[in-house]
Amino acid sequence: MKITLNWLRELVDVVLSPDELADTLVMAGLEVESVEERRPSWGSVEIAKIESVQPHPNADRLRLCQVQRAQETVAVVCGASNMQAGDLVALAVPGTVLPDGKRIEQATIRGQSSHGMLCSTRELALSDENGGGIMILPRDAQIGVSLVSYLSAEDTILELSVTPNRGDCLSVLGVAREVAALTGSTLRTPAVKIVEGKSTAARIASVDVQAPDLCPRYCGRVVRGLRIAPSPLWMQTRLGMVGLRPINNVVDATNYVMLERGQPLHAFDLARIRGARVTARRAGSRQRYETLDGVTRELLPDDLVIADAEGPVALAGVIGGADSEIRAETVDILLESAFFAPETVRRTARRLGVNTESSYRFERGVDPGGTRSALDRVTELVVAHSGGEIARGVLEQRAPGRRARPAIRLRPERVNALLGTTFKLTEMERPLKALGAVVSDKGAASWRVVPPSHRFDIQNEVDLVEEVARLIGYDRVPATVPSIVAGGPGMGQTREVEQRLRERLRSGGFDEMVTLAMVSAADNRDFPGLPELTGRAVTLANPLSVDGAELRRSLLPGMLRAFSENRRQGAEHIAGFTIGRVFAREDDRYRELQTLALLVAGSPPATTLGEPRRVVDFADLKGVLGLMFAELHLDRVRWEPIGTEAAYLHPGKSARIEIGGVACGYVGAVHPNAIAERHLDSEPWVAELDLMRVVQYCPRRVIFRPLPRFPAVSRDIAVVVDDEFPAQRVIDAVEEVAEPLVEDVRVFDQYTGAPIPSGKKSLAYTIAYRAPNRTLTDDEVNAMHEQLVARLVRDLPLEVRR
Amino acid sequence: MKATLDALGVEIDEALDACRSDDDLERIRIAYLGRKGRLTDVMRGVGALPAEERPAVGELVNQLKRRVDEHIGALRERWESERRAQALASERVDVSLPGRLFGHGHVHPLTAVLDEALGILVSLGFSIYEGPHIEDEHHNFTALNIPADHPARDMHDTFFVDDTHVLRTHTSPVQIRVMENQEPPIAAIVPGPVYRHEVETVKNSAMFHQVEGFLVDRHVTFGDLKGVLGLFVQRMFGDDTRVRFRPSFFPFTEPSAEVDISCVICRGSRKLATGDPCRVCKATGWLEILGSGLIHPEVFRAVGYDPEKVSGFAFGMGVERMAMLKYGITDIRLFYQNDLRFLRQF
Repeated sequence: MKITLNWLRELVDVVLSPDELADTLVMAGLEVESVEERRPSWGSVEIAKIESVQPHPNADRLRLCQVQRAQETVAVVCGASNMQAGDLVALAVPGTVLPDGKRIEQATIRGQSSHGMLCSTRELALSDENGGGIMILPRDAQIGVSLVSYLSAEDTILELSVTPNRGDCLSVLGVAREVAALTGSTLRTPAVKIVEGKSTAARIASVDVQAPDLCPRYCGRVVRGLRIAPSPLWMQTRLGMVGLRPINNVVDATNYVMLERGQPLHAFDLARIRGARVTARRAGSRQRYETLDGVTRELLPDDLVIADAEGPVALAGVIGGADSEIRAETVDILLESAFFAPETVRRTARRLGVNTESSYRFERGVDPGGTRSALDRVTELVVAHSGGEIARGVLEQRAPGRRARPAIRLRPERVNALLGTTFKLTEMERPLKALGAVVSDKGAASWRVVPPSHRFDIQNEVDLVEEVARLIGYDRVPATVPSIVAGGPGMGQTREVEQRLRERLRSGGFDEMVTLAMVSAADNRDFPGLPELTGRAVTLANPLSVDGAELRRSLLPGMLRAFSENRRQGAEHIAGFTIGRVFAREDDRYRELQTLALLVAGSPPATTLGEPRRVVDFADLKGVLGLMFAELHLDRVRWEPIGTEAAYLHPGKSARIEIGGVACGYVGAVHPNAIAERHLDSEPWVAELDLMRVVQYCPRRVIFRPLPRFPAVSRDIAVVVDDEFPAQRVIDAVEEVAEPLVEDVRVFDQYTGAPIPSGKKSLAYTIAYRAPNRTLTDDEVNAMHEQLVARLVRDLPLEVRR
Repeated sequence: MKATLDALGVEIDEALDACRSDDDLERIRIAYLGRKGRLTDVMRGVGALPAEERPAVGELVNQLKRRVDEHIGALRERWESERRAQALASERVDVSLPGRLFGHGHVHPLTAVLDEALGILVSLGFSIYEGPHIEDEHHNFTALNIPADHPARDMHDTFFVDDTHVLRTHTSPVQIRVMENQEPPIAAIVPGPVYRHEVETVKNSAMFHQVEGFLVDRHVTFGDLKGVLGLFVQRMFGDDTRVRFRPSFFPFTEPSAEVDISCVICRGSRKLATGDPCRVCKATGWLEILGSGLIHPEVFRAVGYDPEKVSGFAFGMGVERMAMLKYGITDIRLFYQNDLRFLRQF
């Protein structure tokens, strides 16, 4: 919301500079977004009077005017013809610089000397139109006065950001009240002079309220015989400064008073109110209705409308109707000032997507005590600017039984207890009084406080505590550091595991990525995530786009997007990971898993000079996953081929990761179909792990094993097997024997090519034997090893290479 | 015998003087001192001498053997040191060549900032809690004193999942969940993503991250809030960071305060070294960094606490905003584009 400093000064004395004022408001909770000085370049333009207008002796299209200034009369040549003797005009004296940069000089035009220029509104950038010639000022303008001060065109504009609880500050008056409370200046409310005519309003029109719950108060005044015209220039200028487009002298007056008082107002063309009676009622049925912005909108039965004999003429507090708006030919009007319930205005405005200055204020609450005075103020301005006669009396409907505001019990001790302060009673009372609250029954333990009607946000004791702190100043509350003794998980195991994994992955060469949770339906269809994430995808009721219509089931689409973007940027090697939530919906239950995804692709840089570049493969991914599992001391990890179990992975190059016999994730090359569909230019290897399961299987603690006292003895074995034979089978078979003296078995080589026949491969294993209580002899180990080999030959489809 | 030994001594000396290589030296050693060496033979012969001659001759033989051993040792040592000197003179690495590459990845800047903030708060005694991202309206709004049809809901542009569930618009619903599950004292922090129905721009993202903290105990005061946040801000942004609290509005706190810190770029002077106005703080000298306040009595009532018996404060901040200030990042979208040229700067 914008206000101007001059406007503010009409309601309160401001002794502070604009910057000091802004600081004061900010520290009281009214955020000032900007302070803008408006200082027109044409400060030397002054008000002058035309004494005579004659044709220019040497030019048909020019006029020669004698213009009266404060001290002298000067000759001015003018191209316009809309002025006559006696008119008050804007004279740009020599030296004036116009907004377009043009400098006015004393000149001789076709042989006649000219001492300045008579200005149009467009030349002074006051309006986009030139108004049919030069500006003719109203009679109240005084010769010699600067036009800037007459129009109040030099001003400071403050843009305020008002929090939703402070609807009372959405006006110049509201800000003035704050300034008065903060600086101790006195608030001035302009006296309103209403001169009523002979006719009686109640005989001309009537108002009725059939929904007192939604409209507790409705006031109207009738003005007849007015003439629609542009508003006075000063008002247009001021409205322009605060961002409102001037329309006409009636509509501008309603807007002006709304900005001044915070009370939204509406003017109906009385001639178009059928039956001359307006009723505030519920719409009653679904219906279509055209609002004054030319849009036809659908009303619901519970929407509050203002209706005439035949139907709605306005959506109460939101927007007026097209039929009854003020037009150039309007002569009689009904002015409306009402209090509409914030909830009803908000519901209707939100549903229809209409956000007007009026609905904005009603939603946040207007002062129920200001309905009548705002009506009188707007009536005064309308008549002053448009003429016409005010009919006698105010048409008013008020919900019965509205009681005075209940008092709030304030315990001064509670104020200090909550704030951690030692404010004295008088210190606390001062700001409450400055707000306009009535403080009574001042017992030692508690006070009765009735806040002013415009502060509907003050509902209970703690609101008063804030007011006291706010007006005394938050800087007066001493900072104290409490000793915090509370139970709780500290960093928490999940977070701690995540941190360790991040660190491990970072040192393993992986860059952390962050991807958005919203994905397309196609992403979820192609990458349905881990098997335990059963159920449907979660769809958003109001997505921003089809690309973000659902919540991701897997982190992989986001990682693939990062992959392809980086390839486009020319990255040759990508190794990334991310940790995040994935989502699904099962019946009415939502499920969320915290997962970790890895992606590696391209050619890693050579680790040293002369080393040939290679392309990443499964071993890169398995290696880094191994690093992670080692970090977490997870040793019961198995890698099982899955074939087509995960449709987005290559059936021959993928695996399920099992920890302690439970599936925890998938790893593999992205399926060639998915690569083609996403136009990826190389084969990425990916993995996704359920972090919660991983955390669940992390050993809570590491237990020391005594160091072996006797040496281990190793024996190697090389076998020839079919290509598809998994290396793990030999290890499993050895472990199955459960020979207590076998300490370890691992694969250390794989070979294909001559002399191994094609379709076969050679695998080499080393087996370590150790006894806990003695050194094994060669003979002992050889015997054991031979037995083991014989058993492998018996049980597995392999040949031993000798 | 002595003469024989003398002659042998001279012979050995001559052989050693002529010797030029380790191999020759070893040959000479074996020829004289080896198992079948000449000096060894002589030593063996000492045993056959009459008992009265043995000590004197034995002494002579031992002297010779010691002298030969020393001579060989000295030669070896000299040659070894000559070799080292030669090696030192010739061995060189080109220290300007690149080192062997170890994997070197990067933590995301949001994680770096978040971990720093969490580390500080955990060290102050807070514990980390997390909650669901799909929240019901009760936890996301109503229990936090944001009733339906209240303009405060406009502060949150919301993604709806169904009629009663939303993507959490802030981390505050976890406040409610934690308080529903345990009794005070509670010192909790809640990090994580939140979602707003906002079109992506340089400043806005539909998903971003917050850290929320709250302390509930018997006599928690607004002064405590100022103290704890002052301490946090100084550890996070430096000891010389000034902090100010100004009134604001959040439905779930009362009194509420925005927390500003002195601008991290112009250090609060409103101007850059060049004299130009500081653009980061819009020449105000202050940066808004945290929202905070005393927990509203309605929030306590919603979780069944008695606001007369407990009090508490809560605060929340945007992780992206902190990271942007800390690293001078001006476009929030960079955090989610995962451009390696960006990620690898942190």
